[in-house]
Amino acid sequence: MTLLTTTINLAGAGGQVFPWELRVQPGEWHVVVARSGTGKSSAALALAGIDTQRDGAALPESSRRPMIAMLPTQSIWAVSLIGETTEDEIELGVGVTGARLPAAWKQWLIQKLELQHLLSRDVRTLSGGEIVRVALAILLARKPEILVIDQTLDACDPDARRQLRKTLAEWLQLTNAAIVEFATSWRDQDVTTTDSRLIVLTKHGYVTGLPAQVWKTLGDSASDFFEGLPGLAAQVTAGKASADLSVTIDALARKLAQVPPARTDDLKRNYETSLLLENLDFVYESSNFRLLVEHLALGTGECTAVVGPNGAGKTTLLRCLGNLIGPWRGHRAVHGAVLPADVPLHRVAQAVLYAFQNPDDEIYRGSVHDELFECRRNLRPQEDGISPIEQLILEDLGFDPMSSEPPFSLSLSRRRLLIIASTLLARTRIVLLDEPTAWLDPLQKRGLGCALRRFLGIGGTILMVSHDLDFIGRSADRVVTINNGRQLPETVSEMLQTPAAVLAERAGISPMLWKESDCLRALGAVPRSS
Amino acid sequence: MHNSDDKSCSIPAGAALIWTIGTMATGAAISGPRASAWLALLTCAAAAVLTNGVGVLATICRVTLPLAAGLLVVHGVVNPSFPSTVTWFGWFHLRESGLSYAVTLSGRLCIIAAGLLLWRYTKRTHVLAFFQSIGIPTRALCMLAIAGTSLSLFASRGRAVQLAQQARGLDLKATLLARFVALPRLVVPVVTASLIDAEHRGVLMEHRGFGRQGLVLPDRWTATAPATTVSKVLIALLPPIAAVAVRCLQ
Repeated sequence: MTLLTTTINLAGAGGQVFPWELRVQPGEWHVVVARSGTGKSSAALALAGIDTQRDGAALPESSRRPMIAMLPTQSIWAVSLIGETTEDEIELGVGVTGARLPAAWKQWLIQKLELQHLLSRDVRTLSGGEIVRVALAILLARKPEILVIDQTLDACDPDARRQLRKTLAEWLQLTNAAIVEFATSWRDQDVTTTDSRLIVLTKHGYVTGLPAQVWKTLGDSASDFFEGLPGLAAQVTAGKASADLSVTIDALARKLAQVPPARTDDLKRNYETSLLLENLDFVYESSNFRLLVEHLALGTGECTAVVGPNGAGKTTLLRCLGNLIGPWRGHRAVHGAVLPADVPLHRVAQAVLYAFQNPDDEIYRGSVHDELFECRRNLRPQEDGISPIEQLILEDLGFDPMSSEPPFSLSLSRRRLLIIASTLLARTRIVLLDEPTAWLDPLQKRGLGCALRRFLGIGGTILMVSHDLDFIGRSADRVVTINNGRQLPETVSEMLQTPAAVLAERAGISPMLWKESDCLRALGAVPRSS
Repeated sequence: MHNSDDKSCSIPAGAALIWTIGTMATGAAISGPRASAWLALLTCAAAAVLTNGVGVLATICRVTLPLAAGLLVVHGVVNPSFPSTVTWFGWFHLRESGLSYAVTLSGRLCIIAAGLLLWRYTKRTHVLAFFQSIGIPTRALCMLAIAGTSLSLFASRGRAVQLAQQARGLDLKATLLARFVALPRLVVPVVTASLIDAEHRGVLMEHRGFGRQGLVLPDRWTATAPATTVSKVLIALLPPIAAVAVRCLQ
């Protein structure tokens, strides 16, 4: 039995449109990987039946469209926000259709998605990862036949993501439904069911049907790999890769994966302290959540990552440092000078600059150029021009400083990078980044890693909150762990034995050149693209 | 609009509806029978204070007194369209009819403020449960519910944008001119982001079939909504009571 057979028209390179054929059967979990700007969200909307213009093959009238639920990029959009508590919203998930949520099914959802302690809370006060779980409960409450996930699971910490995938796999088995998940990157450990199908969407066609071993070798570089080799992508489109071609792809991917060994000498650098925080004590009155940080010192030229489970207090720490919330007690000093908690926000920004996770709260200018220099204009209006290093930072992030493109015409990931670029160009030397890699594809992450490294090279200091352990492993010098509002003893995990300076070497080539197929060809044994 | 804070006292949704509609309609419709406007004001204020403490009274005063003072000065002293009743020092005019007009306007402002506060302290779940119990159609119910939450979302988005712009170095405590110049930086992201949010949420809710086949509210809402029956009776009694009250006070 097939749940859905559909053809979706995707916009390819040079204004071309190519059809993507998809057949979904019960129990299957399709993972669709594509770079930012490939049209994943549009494809997801078309698949869910929301964007009917892209649905290239309308269903015949006799066919029944299966019940499809969609978990959007920002999971809060799936919540009606009519209810006052999480429990209200879960019940309304079915209540909106005029039915009641069966008690047993409600219990299953609450238990499996670990929502017990969230039931009485207002959804608007939950953290990003918690909202994902609530949104999933709301959508699964109706028992859809197909669940479409549009890059949503990236908001969860790795453990929570693994747990969610496990739960969704159980749900698949229980209901015999199917999942189509869109993602910017893919990892082998993300595959939790044996019935997983991997699909790579590129601007030149789509790739599917390769042997599991080849996918494993390609890993999260799969979309970059095929995007950089349009001819190869065209050859394997629609699952028509021959066994020989699969072997060639595997060999090529292995060659690309060979990276120079990590250097360890950089680990022993001594940093001069630029930001010191001691005995931070902050309490959210609404939830009685308390954050205590005894000692945190950030060094000049050092990138520190804050990790921890959803709701641990990571973003709260950043917000305290940036004076976005308060009042808090404790001692904060920037380059030895005390910066009290009651200093006005715009003055704190001159010493410590915070980049919000949601770019749409910050963007208001009419062009990319104006938006890039917005922070600088606010904080240091007398300083204009752009230094060579800043020019390189912009190149890493893929921006032309003179671009007159309207920011709101950019994709979400590009808007995110725009705000980070504006922050790095402000010439405030201490920067706080909240989930900098959210919604970015692997190529953009590599570019961001390079830009941050350049910023550190000119005396910058970075404190970032992230769930992206791969990115932290490549970019951070140090990791601070927070759990349940408490700072845990600092450790340097094995993962972090690789200093961020080898980022470019890992790829063997400059990250911004990665997209050029010539670079891949130069590594040998690559079929000529058409 | 509606408060979801558990600390606030939950007053019967039906009663809030009666007070709101009654006082708003009276305040807006009448300009002659001033007494009924005062009656409405007193009712609103009393209800808000009884259910939420005297703090509400202070809030009403904080909202309305600056405006009322301005109105009294403008119409009672400055506005030349009202005849001067008393003149001091040859230049200071006291205009009795202007003062009277300003008092009427201030009373209406108080009524609106009291009504809004009353509405704010009513749980939206109770309001929805009450509306459903008196047979309001599902689609209208959904629209009302979404309109109610949209306002609070708009407000929280406004706060987030203000914070984000300040975090980018915008000084919102500078001169009046600087604040005025900064206005687009607050308004543009709020409007743009709210529109994006509203579009996505609306599309997804429609996709989920919101309001198409009826709306079953959680049992808790109806079980905890206080005095729904009393509210229904009060609604039925409102027109005759209002008519008698206005007649008596005219």
